[in-house]
Amino acid sequence: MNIELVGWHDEHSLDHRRRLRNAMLVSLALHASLFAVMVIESSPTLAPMPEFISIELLAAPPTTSRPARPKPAVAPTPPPAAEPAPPEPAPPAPPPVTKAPVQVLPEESPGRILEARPEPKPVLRRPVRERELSYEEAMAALDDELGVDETVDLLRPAPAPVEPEDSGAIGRRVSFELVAWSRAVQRLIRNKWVTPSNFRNRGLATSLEFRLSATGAVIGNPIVVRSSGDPFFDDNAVRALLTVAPLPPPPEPGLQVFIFNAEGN
Amino acid sequence: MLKHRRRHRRLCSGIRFAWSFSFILFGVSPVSAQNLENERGPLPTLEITPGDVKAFRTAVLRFRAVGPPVGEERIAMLREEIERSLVFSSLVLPLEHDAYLASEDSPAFDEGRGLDCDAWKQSGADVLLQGEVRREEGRFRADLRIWDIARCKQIKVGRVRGDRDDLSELGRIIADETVGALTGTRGVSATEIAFISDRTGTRELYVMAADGRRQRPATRSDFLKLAPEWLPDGKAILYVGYQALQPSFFLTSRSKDIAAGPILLDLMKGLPKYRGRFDPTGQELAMVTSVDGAAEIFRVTRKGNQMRRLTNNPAIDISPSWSPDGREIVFVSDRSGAPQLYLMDRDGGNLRRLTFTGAYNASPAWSPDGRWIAYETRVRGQFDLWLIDPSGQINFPIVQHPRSDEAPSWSPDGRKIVFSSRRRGRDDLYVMDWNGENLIRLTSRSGRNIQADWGPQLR
Repeated sequence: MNIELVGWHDEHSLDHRRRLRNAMLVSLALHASLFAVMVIESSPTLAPMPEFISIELLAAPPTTSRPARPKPAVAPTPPPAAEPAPPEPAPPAPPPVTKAPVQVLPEESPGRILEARPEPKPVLRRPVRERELSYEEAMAALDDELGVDETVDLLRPAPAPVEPEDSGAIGRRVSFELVAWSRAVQRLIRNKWVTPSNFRNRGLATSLEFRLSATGAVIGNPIVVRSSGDPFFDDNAVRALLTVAPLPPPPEPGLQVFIFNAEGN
Repeated sequence: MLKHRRRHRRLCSGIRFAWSFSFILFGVSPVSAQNLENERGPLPTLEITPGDVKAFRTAVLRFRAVGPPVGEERIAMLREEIERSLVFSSLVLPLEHDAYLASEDSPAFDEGRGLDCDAWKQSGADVLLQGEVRREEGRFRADLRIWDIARCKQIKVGRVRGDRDDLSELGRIIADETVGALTGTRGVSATEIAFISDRTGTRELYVMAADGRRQRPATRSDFLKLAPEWLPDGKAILYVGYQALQPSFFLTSRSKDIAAGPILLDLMKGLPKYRGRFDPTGQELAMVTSVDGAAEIFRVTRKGNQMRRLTNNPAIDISPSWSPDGREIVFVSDRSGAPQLYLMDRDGGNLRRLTFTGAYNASPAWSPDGRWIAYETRVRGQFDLWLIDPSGQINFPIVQHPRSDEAPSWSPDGRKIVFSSRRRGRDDLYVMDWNGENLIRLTSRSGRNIQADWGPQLR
């Protein structure tokens, strides 16, 4: 207020240093607010994505009925899972960034993770930063939900989801929601993707690029961005994707790349 | 008012300054939001690995008869034959008709009626087959349309004809074409298998459909026959007959331009011929004959000239099998003291041993794609079937059973293997996928059924 009065009544006689200070103060204030906005806005959508998310479902439940709502057939016996469940994430070094999100997860039923996308779960109402998990943490949390059997299988193949050399822990952050969605999609497609024996043991893999809407609909035609060399295999991958479409609503709509790898199991 | 305007101007310049400063500091610019995907680098990538689904679920509509009436029963039989052959392929699984949520009758193609793909998707179909059938010049002809239900798009439009006035044969051809439209390689239900059976007392040459139906003798005489071998064009079968004192080569033919009866009579007269295998062109024969008491492998033209000796040593060299490109031969030799598989070039050079495990390896058969050699190996007194790659790096069993499984032969599409087995106490022929799945017994009559050779695709 004082500054403003001085500046108004005697503009020409104002000390040059004062004017500079005013501008600096305004600038700093704006910087601070801008910085605050950026920090808050660094939601999972802007967080660096892992280049590759590879999740094995070796202990996938039998695909008996409709794949639209897959549920882990082996409901991991609730009582035993619940008892030791409030697991502190690994005694030696609890990650400082995430406030033990696994404490929330065991409260949910194992199947809900795959079908409760539209309604925000309690964990999702937390501040954005608390939802962020490292890849391993998110996987571990998901394993807790899916049960011990799958955990063992998931840990075994170690499919190198992120190249180890390209990352610090920060570069590998991925939302729990994305991991859960990825798993649900993998399971859906695996249950529909026809892979006869003559497609196996030939090193076939094809990459499809397509756009997903917020509702999970595949927009337009998927494009084969990297062919396996066998047009029938490529065609079959497109068929599998479109057969399961619409997918569950993705955490991040937009362009996606799916690699159909015949040797990945 | 003036005061207000000046204050506003100063504020705006401050914001501009702050904004440009932030751009320097953090690299954030107003346009960066539009380039979000580029800023984030690679797109999220998800890897999908195979599950347990190995067959396309297919709706087979009832074909529509065009022209002279074909008859309801025959139309139903045609669909039954198509579905049965699809099941045999183990690649395409016909849906139960009860599951159909749309009409099971093929529409007239010239109506241009679309397909209710949503209904078929709800029915669980990945693929749909529809068609028209008509009789034409004494044969049946079918016009096919194969639909991809997920994309609601025709993936194949074609026309097939049977060789005879036989709707069941046409059904097998249609099924094979359907498999081809989905996998790139036609099915083999319309192919045939030659084999030796003594069900009538003497060992005769027989022929049957690939799924074991229509078994019938191809020879009828009173001498022993062994080692059948199809000509690559499928017009005749070579076999070894013990008509005289020494075994020699014979042909049985279903083509008028190939004479049936003994062949290569003047070749190495007086020496026994135990086995002949045609090269992929059908113009040359790798044959096994006995010279100085040891079985050796020779190469000779079909007319019997330009004979060349490929092996020459005191050991036994038998069971040649050509690589699909005709450049190499895999065979069995006991030159190391026990029967093992060896490879050599077509001129006999570049000899190298292929198998080093197992004390008794025999009956090699090179796969049509060249990637594998199936063979039998003795384990605890019985034979199992194994696959080895031509480099010898990969070697694994495909059939392990307490009783013997022997003499593998590949289907022309390389997806299946026929072999003989004693698992039911006597020799019978079985077929399975090359990875050991989908085992089917083909023969069940009395007698021994052995030495199967899978014939070629004829169209």
